[in-house]
Amino acid sequence: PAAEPVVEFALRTFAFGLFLRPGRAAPPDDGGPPPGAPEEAAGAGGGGEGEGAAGDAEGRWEAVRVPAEIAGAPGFTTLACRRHCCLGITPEGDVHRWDAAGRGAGVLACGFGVEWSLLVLKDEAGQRVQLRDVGIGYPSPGGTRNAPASSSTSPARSQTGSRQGPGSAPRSPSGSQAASPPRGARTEEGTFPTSPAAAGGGGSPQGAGGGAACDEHARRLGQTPAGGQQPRVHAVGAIALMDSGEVYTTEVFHSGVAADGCDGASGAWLGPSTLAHGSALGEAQPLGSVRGAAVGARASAYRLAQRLVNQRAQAKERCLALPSMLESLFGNACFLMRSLDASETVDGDIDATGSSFSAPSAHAAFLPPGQIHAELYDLSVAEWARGRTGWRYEKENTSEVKTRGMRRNGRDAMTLDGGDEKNILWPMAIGNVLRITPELFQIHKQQALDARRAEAAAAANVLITLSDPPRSHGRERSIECISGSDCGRMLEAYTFFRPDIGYVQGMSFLAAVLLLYLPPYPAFVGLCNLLNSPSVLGLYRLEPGCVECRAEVFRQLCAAQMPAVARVIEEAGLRPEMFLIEWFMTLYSKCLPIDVASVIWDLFLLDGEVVLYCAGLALLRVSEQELLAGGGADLEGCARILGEELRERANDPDELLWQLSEAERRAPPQLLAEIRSIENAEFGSTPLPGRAGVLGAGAVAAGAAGAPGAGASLGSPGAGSLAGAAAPPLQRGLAAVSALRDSIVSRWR
Amino acid sequence: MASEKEKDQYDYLFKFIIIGDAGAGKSCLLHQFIENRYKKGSSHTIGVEFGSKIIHVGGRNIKLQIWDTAGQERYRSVTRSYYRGAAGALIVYDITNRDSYNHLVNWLQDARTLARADTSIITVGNKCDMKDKRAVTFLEASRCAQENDILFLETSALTGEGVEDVFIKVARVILNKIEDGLIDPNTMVSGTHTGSQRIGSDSGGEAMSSKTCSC
Repeated sequence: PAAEPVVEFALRTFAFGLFLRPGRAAPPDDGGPPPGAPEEAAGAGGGGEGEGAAGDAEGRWEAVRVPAEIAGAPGFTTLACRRHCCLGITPEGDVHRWDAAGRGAGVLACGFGVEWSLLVLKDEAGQRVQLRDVGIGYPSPGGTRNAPASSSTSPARSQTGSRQGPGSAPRSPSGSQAASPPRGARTEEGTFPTSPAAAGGGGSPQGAGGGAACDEHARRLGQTPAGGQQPRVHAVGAIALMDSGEVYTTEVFHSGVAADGCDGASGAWLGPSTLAHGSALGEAQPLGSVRGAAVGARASAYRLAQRLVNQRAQAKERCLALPSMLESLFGNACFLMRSLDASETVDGDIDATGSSFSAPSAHAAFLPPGQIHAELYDLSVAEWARGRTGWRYEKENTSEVKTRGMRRNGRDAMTLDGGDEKNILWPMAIGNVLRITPELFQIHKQQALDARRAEAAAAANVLITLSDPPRSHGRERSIECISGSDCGRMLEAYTFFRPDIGYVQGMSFLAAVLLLYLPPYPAFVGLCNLLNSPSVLGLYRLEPGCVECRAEVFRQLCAAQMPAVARVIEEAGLRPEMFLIEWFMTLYSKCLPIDVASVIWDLFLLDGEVVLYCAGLALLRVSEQELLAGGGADLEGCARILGEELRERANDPDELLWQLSEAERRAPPQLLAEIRSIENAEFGSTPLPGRAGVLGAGAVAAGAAGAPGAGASLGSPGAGSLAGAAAPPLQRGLAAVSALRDSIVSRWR
Repeated sequence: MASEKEKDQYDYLFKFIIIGDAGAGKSCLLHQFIENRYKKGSSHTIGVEFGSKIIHVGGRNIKLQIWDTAGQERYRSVTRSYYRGAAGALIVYDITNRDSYNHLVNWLQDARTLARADTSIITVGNKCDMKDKRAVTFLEASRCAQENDILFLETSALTGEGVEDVFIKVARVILNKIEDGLIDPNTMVSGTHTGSQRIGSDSGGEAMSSKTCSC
């Protein structure tokens, strides 16, 4: 159906190796391959099946026309194609295959296709490529098979079929195993999207290079898991679907699998494999360098959590409540370990349930088990895309693993609508250096009540419009800030807390956002401390000099990264401060949908003011086409594009996050250093090293380290603080984190 | 917007600035003028917002480029830089709020010193639909306007009463000044804006330049 975007793109197909793994514990009638020798068995199985195996001998996958329609497989998605057959998966999770002529060859497997990630990249010419990560697995032993009515084949056949798969990739020993390592292949493949012509060339090294590693992996996967548990997922692969119609699957992933994973009992579970393919995608960069490239709606929250744990650990605050807090936060939280320096490779394992993952060193992020794969994949693909500046991150759709069938809208579940993380993370991140007590809040509220007439006038009758957090509703929601409401009271109380600042328009947005996630008192603490941070307070004082230098820095950043846009804006007469004031002072909560804005908040709490600039650049990038297309030719048009229309355009937190890290990556370090010096120069505040839970600690540390370290802080959450901090605290911090991790891990076991 | 088609066709471009105390209804006034609708639940202006509309006055199409500023005192340091080159200034106060009226003189001073010397200024008493809460009489305000040699009107951004008149009135005054040769339209929008580029693309540009030659 039209709802299946893949089909639109899948006109022509190149496939480099999605392969199916027979499980040892596959249904008894199957008689799966013996451990250690799945290739042979698979080859035999494939031969028995016919069409597919013949093409495997030379390990080359060739283009095949994907039929627009397959009988019995409505709404299918192409998984892989090779010379003689294609694989497709239906929304129900049935894997079908069909021959070159488009004849359906039947169902290979029923009801257990898994798609856990979809990523759409767009190059600057607007051509799109979708990257999707697909696994095909058997249901767990007790699971029920769900053979839909459309399935015309017997279960027995499906087993045979799925067994045939592995023959494909492992049997691609084109002799180039040593000469062409998977990463090289990936490099070539990575450049593929520009021209269809290049695709043919990229194909063969891909298949060949992955061969050796795939063999290894196949062998491992074929082994009986120590726990006696069957591997649940038998095939992994990623598919790239081009706008122009080519479809690529990426075998490199499998070589990555082999390089790393499967040490654990049921290592076939996808965690390690995706982890490893991350390193493969990163092109000779181990995963360590991938950190911070995380995309996805929750990534910023994770990074925040990660930073907090580091800070706690560094400050030797072994907060006992933290593990349980995080556990409640993310369910069976998993530590995702990322290696600290590029020379380290990550090796780890995921236990049988996929609920815990440990690695020898690294700092931690907390991921719920269901999403660990997706997150890892996000990391890797983002890193991959990062390497190619021509590609723009457009959209990402992550689904949970462990679900039967294709899950499309997993993202909805992952959106930050509930704000469960934020109500814990934000207060922690903002901290309470002001030591505001509930009593103080009460006192100020009372003062405000008593003296309502004078001061309240400014805060009263303020109406704020914020868009509804759950995007599905999409409509506007107003938070009435009339003086009786929480928001109004909070702001009034603040005017008594800081009479020198008082109420400044824009604060109401901060208060409203905080109140979306927090109860009044924590929100008040958050507001006071947030407004106490150098950059926010500096902004709210609205000293012309401070505004000017910020605008100038932004102008320079913009001119460097988007000269055309900068020119259009300048010609229209729009000076950066005209829109920056609103963006910065409300921390983007006025101009953006709240779920998008809260991602920026996360990052702002992580990295400080630099995030605001990068977010601004990201918004310009998102609006680039409109601005250049003539909408920005006059002042009002320009202002409209960057004003009320922004909400429609920048409604995807993932895209913005991606653009943001891109902007940060491209920014000249000296400008970023200048931003930090502006931030730090405000009120002559010198950062206290090692303070925990304070705004922008990473930025502070990076600033202290000087320009070279400066560029690292946004793109890599841990990097800023780690680079800036002295070695001993780092060591201590690591020790503390790993102890913390151990304690959490031991709880699960 | 309705003016989409005629967007490119105007003879003059006037920059207007709307100033006045916070909560006087500046943004609502602008919204009512441009959209002919009351803006419910409008939020604070932070910094500056823009609007534009082409009106037909004295046989000419005039594009008004309106800068709607934040009214709060603390923003004044920022908004001061937006006055430059404004041909018209609307000082809005709230007829139910005596304070906002009292601050009129400050705003007037700002407008006189920071905008063009020949800026046409109008005082707008907004919220005239709230008659029972009126704190500033029409007579008092109009006398004050007379003393300061500025225009005066009362409006209601809620009902739309008088809103269009305000803009047309100021535009007409400016137009008269141009036709009397008191204002050189080439300097109408100074510095930051290059709206004249667009004027040049059609007959309006010629009209303008010929006008300039004649005066």
